[in-house]
Amino acid sequence: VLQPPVSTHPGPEFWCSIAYFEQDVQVGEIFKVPSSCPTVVVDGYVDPSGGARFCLGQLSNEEEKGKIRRKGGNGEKRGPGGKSRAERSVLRLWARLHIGKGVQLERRGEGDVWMRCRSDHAVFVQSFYLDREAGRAPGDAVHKVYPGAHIKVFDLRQCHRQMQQQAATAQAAAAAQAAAVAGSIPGPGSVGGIAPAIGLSVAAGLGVDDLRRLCLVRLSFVKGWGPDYPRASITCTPCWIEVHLHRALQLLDHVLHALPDAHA
Amino acid sequence: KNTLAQLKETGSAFEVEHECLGKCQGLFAPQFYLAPDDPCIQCLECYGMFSPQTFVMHSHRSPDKRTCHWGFESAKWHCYLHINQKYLGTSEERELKHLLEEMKEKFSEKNQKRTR
Ligand code: NI
Ligand code: NI
Ligand SMILES: [Zn+2]
Repeated sequence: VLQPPVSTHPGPEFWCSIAYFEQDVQVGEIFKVPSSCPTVVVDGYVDPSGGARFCLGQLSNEEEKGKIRRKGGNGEKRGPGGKSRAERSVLRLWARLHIGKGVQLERRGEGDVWMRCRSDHAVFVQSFYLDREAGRAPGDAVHKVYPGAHIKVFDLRQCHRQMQQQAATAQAAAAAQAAAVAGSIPGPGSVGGIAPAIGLSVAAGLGVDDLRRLCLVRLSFVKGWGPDYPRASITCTPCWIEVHLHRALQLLDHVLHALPDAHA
Repeated sequence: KNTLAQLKETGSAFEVEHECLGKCQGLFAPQFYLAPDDPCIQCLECYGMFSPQTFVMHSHRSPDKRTCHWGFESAKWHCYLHINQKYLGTSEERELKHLLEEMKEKFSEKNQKRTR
């Protein structure tokens, strides 16, 4: 079924970018996939022999070269749980052994994404699209995708609707708060001497991280997380990737700019 | 229980595991795998006997609270069954992996055509 595009804007140069993490440490450089390559393979091997292939196995020496960034923190030498470089090297070796053929990600149409599990171990996915398909609240479920499975993990249209709704909600909240601060509506915001100049864009900005989260898919190789596993969050798993979807981020930019006062 | 324990001692059976719908480990006895549905894997926890396809549906873990399962098909058991982790990095690893691969191919379509 042919649907009109969500946006007539020219597409991004790269349809996604992929960051690789070992627990809460980002390892290696971000891998960008050109829009001319609709499929990309992320595997555990060391030799990217042509095509769009992100080989996580080749990243094993990056840390020794000092190219290491901790997610949301400072670059100290000991990792989560006080793991040394040697211990992290063992983790990486383990990752190489088990990620194997990894996953294939495929962009379809304007920006939907399908995933194939090529590994002989399951992958665990965080996806708002799958949450909805499974009838779960957004962010509530961890999705285990079995070897050989081929499923859709992202829907651009659904993401766009969701970000419009969330932006509108944030905007309404900001408007109510601004009105309360200005004194036209008595409310909790009118006491405590808060300056009445809180712009809508600032208040809306509070939700931007949530909105950006709609535009990505995360997946952990081999190990799951959540209440069914010994690891509380994906940032406790030994090897996982974060896939930023650029068409969705482009749409988000337009949604935010369309809010009144956004450029103030 | 005793029969399989003896088989293991003579070196013919080996430990396998799956992580479908909860993890489970078992003992694979190639001698008993004479037809696709033959019970040839003994669960290491309850000692029940299973065919490969039913073994990947067998587990003693409590049902998942937060995990949703996508793409699981017991007929694809060959994608889910591995040799026990404890063999990894040992001198037996290669041989046992090869043996398990042979078991996986024993009644596969490809093999059926070749033997006919
Ligand atoms: Ni493996
Ligand atoms: Ni603008
Ligand atoms: Zn059992």
